[in-house]
Amino acid sequence: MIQGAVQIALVILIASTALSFYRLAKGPTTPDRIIAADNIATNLTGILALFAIQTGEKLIIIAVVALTILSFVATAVLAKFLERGQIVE
Amino acid sequence: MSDFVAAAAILIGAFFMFVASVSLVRFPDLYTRMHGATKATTFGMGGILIATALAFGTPDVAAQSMLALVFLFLTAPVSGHLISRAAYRTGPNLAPITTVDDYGPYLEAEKAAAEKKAEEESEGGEAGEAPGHPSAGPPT
Repeated sequence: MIQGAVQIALVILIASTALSFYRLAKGPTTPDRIIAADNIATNLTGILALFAIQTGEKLIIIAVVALTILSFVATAVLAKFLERGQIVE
Repeated sequence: MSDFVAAAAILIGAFFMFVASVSLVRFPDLYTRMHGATKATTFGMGGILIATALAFGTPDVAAQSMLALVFLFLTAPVSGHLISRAAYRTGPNLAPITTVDDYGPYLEAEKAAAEKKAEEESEGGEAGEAPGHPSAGPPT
């Protein structure tokens, strides 16, 4: 039963990633694109966690933790670059 | 029982991730999009990570899932706040239907105070240094 739920959820998450790519391509301003990229990263984290359940591989969860931290750092750095024009002062 | 709860959590989490992406496409301006995407995505990832902890059923995987969950709950609001702040300061593209804008007057008052302070400092510096050191450059 859990495998069926994982497959349905994978389809839903891939569809939502496609919707985020629409905003990434269209988005009128740069912050829109940053938010879309952040959302894509979070969706990929979810897909990775579901993939860990599907394959039964425990090590993928560590990659989930790393990807969560990495996506936050990328978003924070992009926001700071947008506000100040430079990253390291 | 544990499998049933895990399957339910997976489906609820995936639904909320989809809601976040729909809000990203449908909402009119950046701030509403940020709002929808940040909150719903946090909840959706919470469901999926709880499901991984339940599906494996071992303490190490549960601890790592909860670690990822805590990081997500700490960082998602911060990144949303940073993006919306940077977006407002580089040019607020508010939707035409916006009725309340509290940050605009605050930002204008802050900018006016900063300009006044800078003017006072530059006047005081010139008055003090100009007679004694005509050839001295600006302080580096």
